[in-house]
Amino acid sequence: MNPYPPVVDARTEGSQLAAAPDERELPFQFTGSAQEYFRIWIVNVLLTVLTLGIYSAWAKVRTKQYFYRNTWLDGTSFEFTGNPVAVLKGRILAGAALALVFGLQRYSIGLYVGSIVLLVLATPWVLVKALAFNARNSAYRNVRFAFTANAGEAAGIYLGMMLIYVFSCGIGFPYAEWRMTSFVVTRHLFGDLRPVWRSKPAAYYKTYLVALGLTLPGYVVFFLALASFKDAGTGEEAQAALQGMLIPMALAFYLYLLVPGAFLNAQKANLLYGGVELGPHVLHSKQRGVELLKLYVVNLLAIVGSLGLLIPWAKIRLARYRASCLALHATGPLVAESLLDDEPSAVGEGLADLGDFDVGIGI
Amino acid sequence: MISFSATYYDGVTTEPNPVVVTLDEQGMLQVTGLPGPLAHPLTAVRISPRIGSTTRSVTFPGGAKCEVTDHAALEELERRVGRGKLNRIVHSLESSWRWAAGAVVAFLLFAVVGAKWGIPLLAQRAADAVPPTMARDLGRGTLEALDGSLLTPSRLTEARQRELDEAFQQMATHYPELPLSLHFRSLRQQPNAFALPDGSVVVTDELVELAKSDDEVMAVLAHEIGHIHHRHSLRMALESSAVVLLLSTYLGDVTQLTTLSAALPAIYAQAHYSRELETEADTFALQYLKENGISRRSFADILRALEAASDAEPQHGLQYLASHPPTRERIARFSE
Repeated sequence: MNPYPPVVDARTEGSQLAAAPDERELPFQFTGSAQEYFRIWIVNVLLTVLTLGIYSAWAKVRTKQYFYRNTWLDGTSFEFTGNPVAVLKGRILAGAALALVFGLQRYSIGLYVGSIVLLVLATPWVLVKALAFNARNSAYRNVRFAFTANAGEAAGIYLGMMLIYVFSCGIGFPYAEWRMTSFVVTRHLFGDLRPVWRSKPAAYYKTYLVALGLTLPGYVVFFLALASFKDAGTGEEAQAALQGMLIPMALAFYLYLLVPGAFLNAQKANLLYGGVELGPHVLHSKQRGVELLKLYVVNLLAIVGSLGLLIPWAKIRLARYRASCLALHATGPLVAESLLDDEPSAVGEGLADLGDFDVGIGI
Repeated sequence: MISFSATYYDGVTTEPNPVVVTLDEQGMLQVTGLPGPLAHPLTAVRISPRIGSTTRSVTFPGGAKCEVTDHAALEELERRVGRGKLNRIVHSLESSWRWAAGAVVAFLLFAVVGAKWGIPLLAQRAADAVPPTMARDLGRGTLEALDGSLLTPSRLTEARQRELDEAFQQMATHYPELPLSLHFRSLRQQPNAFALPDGSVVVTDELVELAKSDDEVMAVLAHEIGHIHHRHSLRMALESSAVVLLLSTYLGDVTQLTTLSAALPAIYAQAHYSRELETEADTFALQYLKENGISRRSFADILRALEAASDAEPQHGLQYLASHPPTRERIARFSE
């Protein structure tokens, strides 16, 4: 089944435009297996524990390699070429920096605050380094990706985002996110191909509005439930019942937030990937909130029920779904040429790990 | 002679070239299928590690690359050149279900041992290493924050408060190294007492009213001083943050899905730690009562009264995860 039938317009039918013979719909495919990845994961966990965390750099790289190598486009898989030693160095450096900051706390509050400010100021630099490391080490058909922004540019965007966010009391958040995503996407390169990003701020606003609307039923039910307990009386028993219900209700509300969360994640992925044009080729992304929600719920139940042992299975399922929703509408052959650039350090990668940034934009 | 088919990418364009790679007797890798001849010594190429059944690559000097799925051939190449030994060991671990099962058992064992002894020991060491002034700083403001939320002013007469405070100060002289102070409050009409890291002991009106003698109150206060002496609140904070940190590191990068499931064990673990700490504080109180000629029964009596009171009281949300050791066990220790 082809989810994207070629557009046939009566006016242009028969013309060269519509009959372009080399237009192809190339689906992404993820071929990782949960059983195989489970063994890789558990060995990673054990070796990381046994080596007191040192192996975590190798674990990270192997995991990334496993997911990249199992992601296919047009008969070829992606490749991650990051050097674990570089990642380890980055992690040690990042750990040392954080230890220094917390160590300063004991000696001088001024120095401590100063170092925290420095750390915050360094965030754009870290982000750029992390993106550059990730992109530089992502390759398809032996042509590397690259991320070409410098820290100054990133700092400008970052600061602008902060200002918009603060001065608009949050209303500017979707715009700021659009601006940041636009910056990240368009500063990437695949070989010599620079992507164009077509998603619009209005689409981000629409997405966030719908997500906000989806959270409303959760709030309504939560407060109705609270009110019904209040109505039940002020006696000791009613009060006790109310207090006994608080934790389950908070938990239920938290779980309900998966609904807007799934919608938001699906839409944001569609806006991010679906807006990308790479030369004559266009990416299509068709993730659906409902499908993502089903995945989230089953994954959550499986992970909790198995005490974490089904984490690899959950990750594989998620990767498979995400890949299955992505396709490249290619016009002509996939041709790109390499540009040579400097080897970026893994310092950013290490710091970004600690900061828990999501830098999975390469694929 | 080793020979395998591969896809060659020159590293400049994305064009795929089907080729056959052959290792000749001179140790040269001959690539055939390209417009021109290409050969590199085996010792100069880089072979990417094997991970599951995924495609691997052979990188030539200069950046050209062959993508290969013939794992047997690549393994033989690695053996010839004597490289990739560690990667092969890791791969053999990763391919065996027996090792995977062993890893699960080993990890569970490690987790249990670490949670039961490792983390508490480390937290205790760390808490002991924190200088007293810093411990006091950490607790500063806690009482004010509680006054603004959970606690309400005491209704006890000033005379009664002074009476108990004098007894408490008398008790405090035994521990000149601790900056102890006593505070009277009311807490949702629950009989309760608790200790803060800065040396403040808070006792509720309800507990004072519940006690049949001052000895009973003092026994509870001795227990609370035990918490301060052993720096329990600091240890609790260190332990729970260590548990969360370790869980998020080891189970890591699993997106927002697992934050909830990762937090649950931490909560359970915390409930368990505090039981051990309660027992430690009980031991401290027992010691005090013995040294000062107060009957240990006074503590058993107030515990019994507290248990009866909590049975009569409805269950509160915060008590969902019981963090005290079963009262019966504790009473038994003070009833001998």
